[in-house]
Amino acid sequence: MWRLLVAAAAPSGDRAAMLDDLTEEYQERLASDGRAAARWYRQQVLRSLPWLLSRRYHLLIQSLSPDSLREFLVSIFVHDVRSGLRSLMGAPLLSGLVVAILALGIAANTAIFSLVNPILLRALPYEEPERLVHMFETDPSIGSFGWDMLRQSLPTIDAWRETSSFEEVAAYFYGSTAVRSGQGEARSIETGYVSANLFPMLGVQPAIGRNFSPQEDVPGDNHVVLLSDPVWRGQFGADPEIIGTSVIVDGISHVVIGVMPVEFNFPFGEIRMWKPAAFDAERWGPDQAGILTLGRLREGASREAAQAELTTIHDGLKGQYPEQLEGHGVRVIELRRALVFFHDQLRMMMLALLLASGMVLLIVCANVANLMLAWSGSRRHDIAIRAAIGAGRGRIVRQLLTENSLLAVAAAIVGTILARAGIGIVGPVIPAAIYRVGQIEVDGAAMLFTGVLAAVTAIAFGLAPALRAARVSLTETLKDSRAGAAGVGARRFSRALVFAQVAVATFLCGGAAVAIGIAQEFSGADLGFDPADVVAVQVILPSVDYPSAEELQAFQGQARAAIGAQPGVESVGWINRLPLDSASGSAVYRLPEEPAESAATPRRAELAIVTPQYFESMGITLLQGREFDLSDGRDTAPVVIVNQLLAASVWPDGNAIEEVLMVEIGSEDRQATVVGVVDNSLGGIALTGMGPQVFVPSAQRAYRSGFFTIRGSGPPAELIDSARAELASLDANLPIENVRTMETVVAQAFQPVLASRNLLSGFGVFALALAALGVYGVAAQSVSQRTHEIGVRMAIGASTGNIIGVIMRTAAGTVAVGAVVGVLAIFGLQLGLSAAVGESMGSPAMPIGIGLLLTLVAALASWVPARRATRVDPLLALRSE
Amino acid sequence: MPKGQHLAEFEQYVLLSLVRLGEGAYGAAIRREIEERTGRPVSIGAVYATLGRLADKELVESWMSDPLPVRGGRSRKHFRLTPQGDGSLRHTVNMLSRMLDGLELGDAE
Repeated sequence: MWRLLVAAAAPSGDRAAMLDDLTEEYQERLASDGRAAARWYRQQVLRSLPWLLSRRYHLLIQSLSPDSLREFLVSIFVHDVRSGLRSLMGAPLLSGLVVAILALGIAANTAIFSLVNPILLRALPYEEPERLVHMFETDPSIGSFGWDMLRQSLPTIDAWRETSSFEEVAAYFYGSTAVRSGQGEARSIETGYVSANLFPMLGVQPAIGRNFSPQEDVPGDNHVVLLSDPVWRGQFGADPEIIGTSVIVDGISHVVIGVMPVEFNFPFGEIRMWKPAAFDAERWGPDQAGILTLGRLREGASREAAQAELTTIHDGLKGQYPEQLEGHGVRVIELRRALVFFHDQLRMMMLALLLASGMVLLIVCANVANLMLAWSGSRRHDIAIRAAIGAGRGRIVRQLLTENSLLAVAAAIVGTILARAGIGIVGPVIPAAIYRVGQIEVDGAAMLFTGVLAAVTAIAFGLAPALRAARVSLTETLKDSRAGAAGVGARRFSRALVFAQVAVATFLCGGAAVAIGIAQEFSGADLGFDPADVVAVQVILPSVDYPSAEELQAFQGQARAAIGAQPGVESVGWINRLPLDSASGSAVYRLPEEPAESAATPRRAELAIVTPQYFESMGITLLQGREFDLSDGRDTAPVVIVNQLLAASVWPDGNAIEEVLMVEIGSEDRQATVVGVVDNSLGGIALTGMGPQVFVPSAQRAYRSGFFTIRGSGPPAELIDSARAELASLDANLPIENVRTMETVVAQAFQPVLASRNLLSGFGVFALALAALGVYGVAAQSVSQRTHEIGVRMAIGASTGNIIGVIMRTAAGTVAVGAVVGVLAIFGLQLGLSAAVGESMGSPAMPIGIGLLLTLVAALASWVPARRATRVDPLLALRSE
Repeated sequence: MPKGQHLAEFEQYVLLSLVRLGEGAYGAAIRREIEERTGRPVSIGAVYATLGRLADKELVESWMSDPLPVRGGRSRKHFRLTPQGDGSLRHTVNMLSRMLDGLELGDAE
């Protein structure tokens, strides 16, 4: 050990001589007194260390002087790179294969990084974003963490402003508006309603124009708007004179006062226009909890302290508004976590993708390492000759690493190009409505990431083979005439690499299978409705033109009749929230005999407001009773239709018709008679699955925005055209923007799930192919190395089967162990996921199946070279010695 | 003698031992020589680090001896003064003796 210490510290020029000197004296002393000699040796080493280290340091500094550095670089670039290129060109097939494999691995990682970066990593483009927080009321009775957060009413926010934790508190909400500019057609634009201090608090200035002033944040004076960059470019042709132009928003003239910077999005990308919220106490009373609140913490104030302070204030408010706030808490979370919807779920998904792409890169490195190892095996002669004519070990390692770096650089370039192309495949994983900072693109940060990856992989796949190759024994290698005879150590190393590949590939395929299972569950054939031949047309009725409920309902009736009269149209319904399109509202329900406040956990159902023929048009099966019809009016007794899940849980005996259900809609407690039971169908968001549903007739609850659902036999384009024409003939100013077939809506909703499934499957297949390649490589190498042995075996009468067996056996053990480890890891994944989600994640047959698949593929991969081994001509093989 | 070629104390010892040992000056011998004469423990690392530094200043040079006449015998790395080293040492010794001229310091130990 002491000897090693000195050897490590000594400058290379003196190392051998010094060790020899030490040994010489030590042995002289050993002859007289063993113990004293050992002590002497130890002391020599310890006293030498400071001297040697300071000498090494001195030499290092010297070598870094500009002249010697330049010399070093020149020697690398001119000599190493040139000779590296030469030797790579000498093996174009291998170099090409290595670059291709590496490039795919790097591309996968770069693309996934580009995806994660704007959602989770890139800093929020606001001033001191770490001090920005979002506040929520919480109601644990609604759901678990993340699903329990509520908006606030104005009195709550006013009380929250009086704190010492916040420098500033701002508020907003959002919704759809109908916007018309000049003589153009009206369009619906998602609009953010913000308090005037919100953008200044974020530290954001419009690119053109100015922010809202406090005077504009007052009801009646708030007819000004800020446009997003895409709206300014798309609808206004990037008009530089836009400031002061007037646009009609919901029938009222507004003045454009500015355009926000490119890529500014708040609270998420689909909001394309902003106007002052002008919160007033009349409209936003204690019952109207529809406002979102965020704030800037004072310098030095912590999130926890702010939450504690708000909670105290909130508890005080409960005395004033016991009905509205009972049981509510307060939560203060980082702004990003609040803005990125489903932040926690998304993070899990992205983590899974990062993990998967990282594993792919591992397999890639193992595979390439194996290829390089085989190649350096066949170059042992070259290397030995170079060593013989004076190349030091460090020199040879440097040469090999230079070659690896060249491969990695080429792979990084190809990989970046692939990633840029592949971002289109990866992008859809994130729904457009999710908040992001900048775009999902391969940017500078991603390039840097790629660079680091390439450097790391160059070392990971290159160093071990290079070190191994450089450690050649001159005499043995030069004496040994067989090219490509790698040592036992090299073979063991390459088997370890194959083992790792098979294990990781098995695990990845298992992960992909689990993902496919989950995706299948979500995109399951059973939507509960039939999207074929259905077109959905969104219509928002401006409050200036349709101020009352009667007018809204009248328009719906006229429009349905007009569209329904068109040829090819079978039925026309209307619903306030389209399934799978946006989050739906909810209502608390109970039986009449249960008191309103008693339930510890109120039962909640998804609430939808529909017209007659909605279920017919969507192809939702009516199980009992009837659909709504014209007899359900404003003045008749309230009625509801429920879905089968709700009916079965409330009336297990099977008959729900004519039963009475209490439904709380907003602040209204409605006693309604069940007139129908429909089949379960997917509601608001795909990922939430099926739950209890309550449907209320639109005649008994008016709604300003919604979707006509039109089922017809003709081509969708004709249905859309005739619906547009009929709606325009009823009201020429009506914005009709959002027109889609239901099949498109379904496809969009499942796109993220399907896209991540496809990605994971792609990773799995790639891993499988690489593992097969790895196994093939090992088997092929073993055949070429054992040609002589095979020749002997055949000469003494081994059969073809024997030979195939011998070769395949070399790979079999490694593959089997790898597959078993991989299968166990999948079991672990299944158990972990089941524990986390609370339901079973696929059967145990799946991992075993995948293990068998891997083994089969590996067997095939080793069979090919084994088969070739049997064609060895014993005479030739023996003569080759 | 060029500027900056001032010899440190231990460097002087090493150079002087090279003169004393002549053809037999290799690491272990130098170490023992200085240790015996000064009575201070000297590490082999100190010797080699100093020789390295002196070689950088081109005051010493090394040469490899023929293998020792035993089975598996090794070549030793020997050191000798260069003409500059010789000059530098002479200069230092001259300076010292000039400074000492006429002084009575008595014995240190």
